[in-house]
Amino acid sequence: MSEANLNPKMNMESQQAGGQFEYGGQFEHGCGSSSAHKECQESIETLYFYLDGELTDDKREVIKAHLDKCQPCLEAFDFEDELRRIISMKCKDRVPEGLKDKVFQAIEVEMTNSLTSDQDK
Amino acid sequence: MADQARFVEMTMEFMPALYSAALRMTRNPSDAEDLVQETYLKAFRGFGGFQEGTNLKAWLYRILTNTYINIYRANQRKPEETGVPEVEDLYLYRRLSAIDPGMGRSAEDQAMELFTDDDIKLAIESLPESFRIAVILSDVEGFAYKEIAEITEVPVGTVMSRIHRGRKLLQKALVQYGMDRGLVSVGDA
Ligand SMILES: [Zn+2]
Repeated sequence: MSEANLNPKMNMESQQAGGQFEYGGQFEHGCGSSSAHKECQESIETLYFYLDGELTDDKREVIKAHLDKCQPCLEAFDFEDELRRIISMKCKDRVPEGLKDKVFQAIEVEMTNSLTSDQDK
Repeated sequence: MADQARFVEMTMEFMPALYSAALRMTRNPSDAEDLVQETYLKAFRGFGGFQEGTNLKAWLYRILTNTYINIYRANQRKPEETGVPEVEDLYLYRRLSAIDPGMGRSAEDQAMELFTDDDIKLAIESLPESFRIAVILSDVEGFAYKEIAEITEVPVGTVMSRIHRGRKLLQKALVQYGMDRGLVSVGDA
């Protein structure tokens, strides 16, 4: 057990700078070649564009091909995709009782006012 | 004057989503109600000029966002985009995969169990305003970058950067909540 566990905050901050994919040895790649590493890095940098459907078809295909052969990247992509689903799911609030009526009333008043001002003309 | 019945019929289905977005923006239920009411009133006034076939939901969000900015941020012209820390990619994922390796539970399942609705809401509400709005519109409402650019009246490049950075800041806030409760301890595996 590393002493980092005793001081998680400091540990987190010290790790911020790197931003490299093989954090804590979690992402191991079969071949370990530097070109594979580069592909992973590029995929992760493009992750949000990919998940948001904001890539050109060409670039999309490149990422898709990488995900087909790279399990660690695929898992990371799945996680981010799922997280977004969780966020949208957990962010629902109930409309307060009476808000709808308030809106109806405000529109009603607006109608009446505009009718009155039409008559004034 | 716009046709009242038609307006109501077309726009009321968006109220729950608009209210949730208003609540994330204002962080206050009574302000959120006022904001939604003001949004509907403005939308009704402008409904005559609304073009059939254009995106009604995006149009309503544009009114909501503008109204929010005008009412609640009139005194804060330049938002806090500089001075916001950069957060590394996969911030949350790396930490969740580090705490529970080989337990057979995916990082997704952990995130689902670990964070309550309130955690997620508070984390969004903790974001600097321009990031907060971008994340609400993208992750909660599912608008495309281009739509968000139109809704918030900023260039697409700015929208992208706000969404991406906002998401990472959100993950950092979530990790912090997890740590505060002793649920996430961050070690380097
Ligand atoms: Zn990879």
